Amino acid sequence: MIDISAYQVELDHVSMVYQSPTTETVAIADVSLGVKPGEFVSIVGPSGCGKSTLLDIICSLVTPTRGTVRMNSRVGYMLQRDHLLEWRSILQNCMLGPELQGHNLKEAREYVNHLLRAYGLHDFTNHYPRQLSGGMRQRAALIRTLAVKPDVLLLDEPFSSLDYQTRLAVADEVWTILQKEGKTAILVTHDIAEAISMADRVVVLTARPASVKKTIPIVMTSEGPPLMRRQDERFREYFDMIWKELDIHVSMV
Amino acid sequence: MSAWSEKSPERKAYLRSRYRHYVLVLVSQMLILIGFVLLWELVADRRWIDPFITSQPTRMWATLLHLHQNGTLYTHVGVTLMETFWGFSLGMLGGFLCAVLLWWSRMFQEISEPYLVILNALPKVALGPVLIVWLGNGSAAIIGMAILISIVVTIISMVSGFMEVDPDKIKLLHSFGASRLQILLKVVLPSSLNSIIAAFKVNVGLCLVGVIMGEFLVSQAGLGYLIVYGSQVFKLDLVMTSILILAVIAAILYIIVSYVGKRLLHWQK
Repeated sequence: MIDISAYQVELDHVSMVYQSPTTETVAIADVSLGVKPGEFVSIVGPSGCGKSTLLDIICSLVTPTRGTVRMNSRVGYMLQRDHLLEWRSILQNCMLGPELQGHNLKEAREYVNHLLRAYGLHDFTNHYPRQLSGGMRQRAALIRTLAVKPDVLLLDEPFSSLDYQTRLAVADEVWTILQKEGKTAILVTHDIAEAISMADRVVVLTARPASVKKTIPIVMTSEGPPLMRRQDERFREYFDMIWKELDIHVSMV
Repeated sequence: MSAWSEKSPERKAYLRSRYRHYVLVLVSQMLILIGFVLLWELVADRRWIDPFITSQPTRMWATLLHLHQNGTLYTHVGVTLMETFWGFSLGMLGGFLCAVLLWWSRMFQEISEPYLVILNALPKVALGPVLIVWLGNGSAAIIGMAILISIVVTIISMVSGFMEVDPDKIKLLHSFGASRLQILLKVVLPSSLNSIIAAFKVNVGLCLVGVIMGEFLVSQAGLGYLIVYGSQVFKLDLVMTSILILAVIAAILYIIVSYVGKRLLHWQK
């Protein structure tokens, strides 16, 4: 049978229960989710609701307690902090994935050099991570992820360690790079504005144990990179809609 | 940067005061040494203390020259260095392999924990006589002593270094599908280089302790032997000279290890 599923990543009634000596924690109750090739999906939810666990499951770092994950493509994972290895130069850091997966290193180096050149890090290939700014480090981390040519990128709050201005700029850059490279992306964030500005679709999760509360397709009046989308007249509407869905109670005392 | 090549007066003043501070510390350190040697010589010369039991710098110098001329200096230093080298290398290697094993298997680590704690607390010198019975009264027992003294500390400090590695870095490698060996080689070892080098530095000293202890117990040669022999025949000149040589050796070994460590950590500079 030919797989006619239109989804590149598909979670089918996935749930996750963590065991510890004292207690049992249900992190994810029941999540079903499909992501189409080339799509950018943002997942938002209250903090600690198991968003990151969802990405760990997709990357098969953990096995879900129940349910299945269907995926027939390579994944790249981008974590909260860049985690560049301090003792490796930028080029060596970007070569980490190909090295670990035993790719042809010559070809991989050519590809990495191409990416470094294309995304403005070419002058820093032989620098060490601590010589780079936060934004540049995050860009290097993205190139490290792209070096293994993943079809799907998992982004776990990749901008949360950056200051606000850098954050906006790097989000814009990353979005543009992913668009250019034609990658599918799943972004987990607690920043509603960030989620809307980058995604084709925002999935709102409930508080722990997580399940899908609502899926909101984002259609702006004009297409463009995140910074432009933040200016869009519909941006506010989506923001309010998701804010209400998240049902965040702010104490006024 | 060229705009700042002309140093501002404040910068100059700062650099000058830093330099002055540095010189002051260095001169004080040297004055203390010179003063101590001169004082020692003076009080021994005036017979305020008895140079027969305290020795004195000029007598130590004469002893050193004597040892140099009859060549025994090099035999004894050579023996002690050789034993320290083997004790250090084998202790580091054994400790490193054990640490890797303990990191590899969580289960093994838990099982061995109480044994390690007790071995660490046990004064290793107590095992000296046992080593002599097992390994004979020669260099083997002395090297055994040095290994015994250094290995447990090595294991404990290396394992704790390995366990401190950022779990997110390990997660990153897992996301690339890395094997446990790859995680060890690409992340755990490089990021614990600091603690490995710290263990190196501590071990040089500990091995020297082990070797001298061993030489006290059994030996026909080495600086420890010279010290014990000297004290038995009441040649305090020999004892003091040997201790001085030992201090110089300890300093040189420490400098070598520090230098090697700095070279290995070049990316931190």
